[in-house]
Order: sequence, then C-alpha cells, then structure tokens
Amino acid sequence: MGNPTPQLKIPSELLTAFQQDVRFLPNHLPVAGYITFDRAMLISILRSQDAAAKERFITALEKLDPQWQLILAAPAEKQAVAAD
Amino acid sequence: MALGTPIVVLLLARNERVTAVQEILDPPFMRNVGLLVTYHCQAACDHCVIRAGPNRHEEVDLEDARAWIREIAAYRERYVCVLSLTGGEPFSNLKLLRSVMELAAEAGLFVSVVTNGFWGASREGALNLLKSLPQICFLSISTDIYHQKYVPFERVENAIWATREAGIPYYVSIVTDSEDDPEFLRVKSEVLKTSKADNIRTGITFPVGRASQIKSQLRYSLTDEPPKEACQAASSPCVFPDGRVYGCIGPLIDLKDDHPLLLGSLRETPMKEILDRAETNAVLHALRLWGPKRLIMMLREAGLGRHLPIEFITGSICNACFSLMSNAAVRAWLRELEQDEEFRRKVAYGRLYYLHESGMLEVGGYTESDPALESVH
Repeated sequence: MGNPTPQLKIPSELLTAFQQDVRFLPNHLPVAGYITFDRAMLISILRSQDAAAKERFITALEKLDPQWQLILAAPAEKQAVAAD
Repeated sequence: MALGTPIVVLLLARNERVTAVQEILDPPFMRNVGLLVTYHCQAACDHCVIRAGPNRHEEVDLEDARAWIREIAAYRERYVCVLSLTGGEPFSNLKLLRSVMELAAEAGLFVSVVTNGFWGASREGALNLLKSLPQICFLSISTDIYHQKYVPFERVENAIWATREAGIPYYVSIVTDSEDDPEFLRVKSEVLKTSKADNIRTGITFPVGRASQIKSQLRYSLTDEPPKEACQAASSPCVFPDGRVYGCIGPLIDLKDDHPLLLGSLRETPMKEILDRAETNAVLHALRLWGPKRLIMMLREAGLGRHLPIEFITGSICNACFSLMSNAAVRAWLRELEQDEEFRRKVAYGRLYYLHESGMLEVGGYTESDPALESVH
C-alpha cells in the first residue's frame, strides 16, 4: 500500500519519509459503539432486498467526489466488477 | 505491518469504469457518522464508557435528529453514506428508533445499529421485530461478562438467530479486560456456536466511565510502551443528544474539558462546519495515521514526558489516547501542534500517501502552493 491518488503529488522529502516509515494497524477492529463503514457494511447494503435502498446507494455514489471515488467491496466482488 | 481485516478498494473514475484495484486496511473517513440515540439501557454494565443504564433517560430530540440527519446527508453532496445508531440501547425506545431510521432512509442514508440483544426473548418475536425495521443494514450485538449480568445469553442467541434469518450482516462484540480470562473464553465459545469467528470482535476494557469504579478489579496487562497501532475509531465522528460532536465514540466523551477530538456543538455551530473541522483536524488524523504512540514520542521529544503515564494498557489504543487528552499540559501542547503548519502539512500528505485521502490537502491549499512536489508515478 502507499500509492496516492494519481492526480496529486507528494513533496519528495515527505515521500521518502513515508516510504521509510512503518505503520501498524490494530489486530482488533473497533467494537461495541464503534461502527465504521467497512466491507461487511457495504455487503449488507449490496445484498439488501430493498430496491429503493439500493437505488439510494447508487445515487449517493454518483454524487461522491467527482474526481476519484472510493468504494469498498468484498474481494469476491472485486473480480466480478473489475472484469466488466 | 500488523495484520488487520483487508478491505478491497475499487477506485472508480468519472465514467465509473474500474481503473485500479488496491487493498487498504483502513476504514474510509467519515463515510459513516454515529448518532447516540439514547443513554437509556436495560443494563448498567460495569464497563460502560458512557454510563448508560435504566435510570438514564436522555435521548435525542426527534426534531434535532431530523435537522441533523438532513445536514449529515447534505454534507458535501452525500459524502456520508451510513448513519450508525448507538446508545445506550437504541431498541429501548422503538418508536424513536423507528422514526430516526425512517428519517435516515428518507435522507438516503443507510443505517447500522448497536444493540445488546435484549429484545431476543423468543426467536419468532426477534425476527418479527427485525422484519418491522427494514432500514437496518447492519447490526452490532454486544455480549460479554458485563452485559450478561443483565441480558441472558439466550436472548442474544435468539437475536443472532433472527439477525441471520433476516439476512442482516452483523458483528458480535465482546469486551474483556483479559483475552486469557476463562469467562471471556467461555462467552466467546458460546458465541462461536452461533456465529463464525469473522463475526466476532474483541475489545479491551479500561477504567473510563463506569469502569473507573472497578479499576482495582480489572486484570488487563500493562506495559511501559504505548500501543504502536493506528486508531481506526476516529474515522467516524459521533453526534450526541445534546449536540456535541466527537471525533469518535470513545472514552474521550468522559472528559469534562475541551480537547482536540471534541469537534464542537451543534447548538453553536452548523453541522457542515463541524464536519469540515473533522476533515482538517490534524491531531485527529495523526491518530488515524500513526496512533497515539507518535504523539507520545513527539511529547517526549518536546520535554513533556513527565506528563505522560509510565504504563499503558497492552493493546488499548483508546487508553493511550485518553491518557493524552485527559492531561491539561498535553492538551495545551496538542492545541499548539494543531496550528503547526509543518505538522499539518505532513499529516495532510500522510493521508494522501497512506489513506488515499486528499480532502485535507485541498482544504489546506497545499496542492496549489507547495514548491517541492514529486509524483510517485
């Protein structure tokens, strides 16, 4: 990991520092009151039987950042979408 | 790098064709916002950070919820996708929960809910209840030695069964002061009879909120080194019934004093301005990038080591963060750090490098003025 959004650039001294830095992520994801938008949550939306809800999600995605958009998906779905 | 749950990110260009696929391990920033619906709960758990219980009756006013949800949905043209409802026990006032979820759905937000599963008195009743709440896209069900004093596991089992039957993805959250505790292992074993290991999340109890009263009973392990991991909780701001907005729904809500992760009050400041503050809050994003350890190292280098604890709870990012924010001298230093241009610049580019987030760069104007830019491509 570590490649930024293509259109934006990083100052060389910071880029070097980031490349040499080691970043750690927790083994445990947040619990209880901590709910973050993650893979499982997106799956729940995509699997929703509510067509209107799906449409709302599509509309929401269409209105996201006009430059580049980040969408979470399950690994299994990656292949299906990427092949389109 | 420590292992987390990989999340695949598809980068979509304007024409919505997939042009790149990468794996990241961080939740995206502010794609969901929390709303604490009520402090009321059937349980009064010993470990509860917000001190919820049967005698607490503060809850979000429906008109406030209506306005806030509308503002959350409108923020940056639907930047926020999910409203995460928490408490207390959101199911304890079904009428309010239903109304808030309907408001969220009308505004185009998806809904997740945290619950203790008390409503699982029977399988059929639990399933009927969930079917009557079609807005729920995701459930987090809490059960552990603390909750089980008030909510029998049979109810949780029924709630889990109904959740699965209704096709709603879920987590079961188990907190403990020690992952070696036989009681924790017993609870986990019980949950594993109903759910896969991937559905279980574990957290470490620490002495904040009501748990501060049982500090001597907690058996967590201590270390002289702060946890090295980044914070993932600060990716989701949370709105409280009194209008306060925090950078996370963590132990910091127990602090009476102002601190960097208290983003503001909706009684004084519009939602947009508060969420913009979250986007540009350098201390918050430093925690997301490098966790509290990086700030602790900077504090030591600045000669403020005497204000830091000599011991940390092993593996508890929240405890380390709380120890920073609860010290007045550290808070003053963090306020100065927040204004430090070089620090802000490093955090802004760090977000771009590690998290693929450009919002802080754009707001900070770095992309226009920085003379030393270098593409990594």
